[in-house]
Amino acid sequence: MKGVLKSVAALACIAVVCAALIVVVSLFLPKQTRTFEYGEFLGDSTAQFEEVDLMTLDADLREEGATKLTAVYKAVSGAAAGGVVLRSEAVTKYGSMEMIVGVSKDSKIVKVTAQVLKNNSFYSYPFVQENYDKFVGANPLEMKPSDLVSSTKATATKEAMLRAAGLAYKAGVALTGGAVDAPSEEVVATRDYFSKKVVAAAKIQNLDAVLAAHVTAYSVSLEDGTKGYVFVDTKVYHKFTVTIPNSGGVQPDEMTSNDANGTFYLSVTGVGITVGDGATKFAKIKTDGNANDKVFYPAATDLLEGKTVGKITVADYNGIIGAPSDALDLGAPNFSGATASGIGLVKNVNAMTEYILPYLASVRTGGGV
Amino acid sequence: MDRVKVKNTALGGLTQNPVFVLVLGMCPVIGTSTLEAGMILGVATMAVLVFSNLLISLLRKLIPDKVRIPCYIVLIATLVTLVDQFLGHFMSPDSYDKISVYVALIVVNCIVLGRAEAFASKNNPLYSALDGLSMGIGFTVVLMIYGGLRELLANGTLYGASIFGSGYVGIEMFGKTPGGFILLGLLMALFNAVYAAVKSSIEKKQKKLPIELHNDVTDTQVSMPDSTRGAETPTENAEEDNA
Repeated sequence: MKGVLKSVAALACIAVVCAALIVVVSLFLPKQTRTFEYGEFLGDSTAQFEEVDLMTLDADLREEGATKLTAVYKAVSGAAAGGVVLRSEAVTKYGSMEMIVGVSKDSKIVKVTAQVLKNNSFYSYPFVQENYDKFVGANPLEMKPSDLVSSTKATATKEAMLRAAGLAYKAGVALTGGAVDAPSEEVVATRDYFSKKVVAAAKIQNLDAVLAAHVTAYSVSLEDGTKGYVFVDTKVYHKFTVTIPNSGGVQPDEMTSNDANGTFYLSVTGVGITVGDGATKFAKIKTDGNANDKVFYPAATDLLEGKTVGKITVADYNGIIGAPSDALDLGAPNFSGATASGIGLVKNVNAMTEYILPYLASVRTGGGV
Repeated sequence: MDRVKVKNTALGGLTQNPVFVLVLGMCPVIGTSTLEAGMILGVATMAVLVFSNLLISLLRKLIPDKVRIPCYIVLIATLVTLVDQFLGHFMSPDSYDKISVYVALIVVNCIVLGRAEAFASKNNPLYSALDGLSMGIGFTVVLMIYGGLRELLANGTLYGASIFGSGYVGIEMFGKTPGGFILLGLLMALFNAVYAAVKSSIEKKQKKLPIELHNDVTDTQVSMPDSTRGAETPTENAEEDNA
């Protein structure tokens, strides 16, 4: 018994001394400063940085949905002192990507770069310098995917860039003593909350082709005193197949028979407004996708603006824009791909109008699906 | 101080090379794929080896035999934590991110615990520190050669600098684990073949020498590892040294 106690006491003593040693050394180690390539992000390659403990940041500055900060470095010397460099990671179903954002001491973005960490599909495209330049001096929280250049084609990639840059910017502004402007309207739901609900709603309606949807909603008071909701940046991703015959028609210049056939992804972005009774109409609508823009009838979206929410059939759609060849001057009377993409667009619009916006309206007004 | 023992201890990193002879600590070795990583990890391991051997040797009479292994692990873990803190403070974040997982694994690296148990617990602090240094140098050199070769074959670079030019198409396999195993096996075979040839040559010379000279050579010769891997020749005189 005495031997056991002696052994335990010896072990405990060693453990205590070792723990004390670690604490003392960590306390007396000089505050870490280092110079590395991140100086370029603040325009000062000689800047010295200290690493910021992420746990000292508020939870919403560390993480937001599928986006999180992975490292923050604060410049402590030189002209850039007070600025921060932030690394943030965004995860999508197509992979994950990282943005490195430099925020100067006066809370402005100085430099941004991006890299793909994991690529699950063809949806990840090489990022271009022009996109990084778009962020400089801008507020990523106010940017839309369409603000980024088209060479980063996939909407998911653009969104991931915006999310990652937005989170980094928000944290950067907070760390440099600035303030992020809050929306003037009350935010009634988060993007992620609605995303899950909307996809669930689409599945309930057997609309499996809707891959995902993203929504940000704000409450508004209309001029007549009616309370309503504005659904900003409502997106529906729709998968559809285009088959273009190789003969019997003129192909658009930019397309070949190889890349014109296949499965495409189309998204519809709409700004809807709904009032208390759940009636919703489009204030604005546009399309985006991974194939040639001509396939997606950008002109048609203008014609859909102002239409009240309701089912729009293919016939209605053709009625709105006329025959595809006439309306869009594709020069291919039997260009079946155009029709197919038109159907894709209509189905996509239908998904938004028939299921999603009413669903959101019903959720906000207390109704059910 | 026993000259022969000092010599044998100092040559331990070669004659009892942790990677090629004792085959210990293979996890961090396989994880090393660049010259820089090999150098940093090797130096970190060497620092832990030297100080753990020193501390354990100093405390060997105070540590109860029944709890010696947990005590060694606590001491080693403390040293690894300190080394990790220093590396984290002085390395670039990207380099540290790549290496930090392996630094933490030094705690359970068989070399460190093996030397503590086989050598430091039986020898005085001076020999123990020397053993740690020798083993650490042996480990570091192997890691640098191995990491450098992998980097060269896989990327055509050495310490990040292009060696074969931009036209070089790397052998991707050597950057991955299977290629790492193959290269390690080849290096191990090469080392042991050269070592056996050198030993054989020394033995032949010994047979030709007169008795007097023969004894001198025997004192300085290097010895191949036997089945008692991890055990050390110098431990035979441990009791004398302790006294």
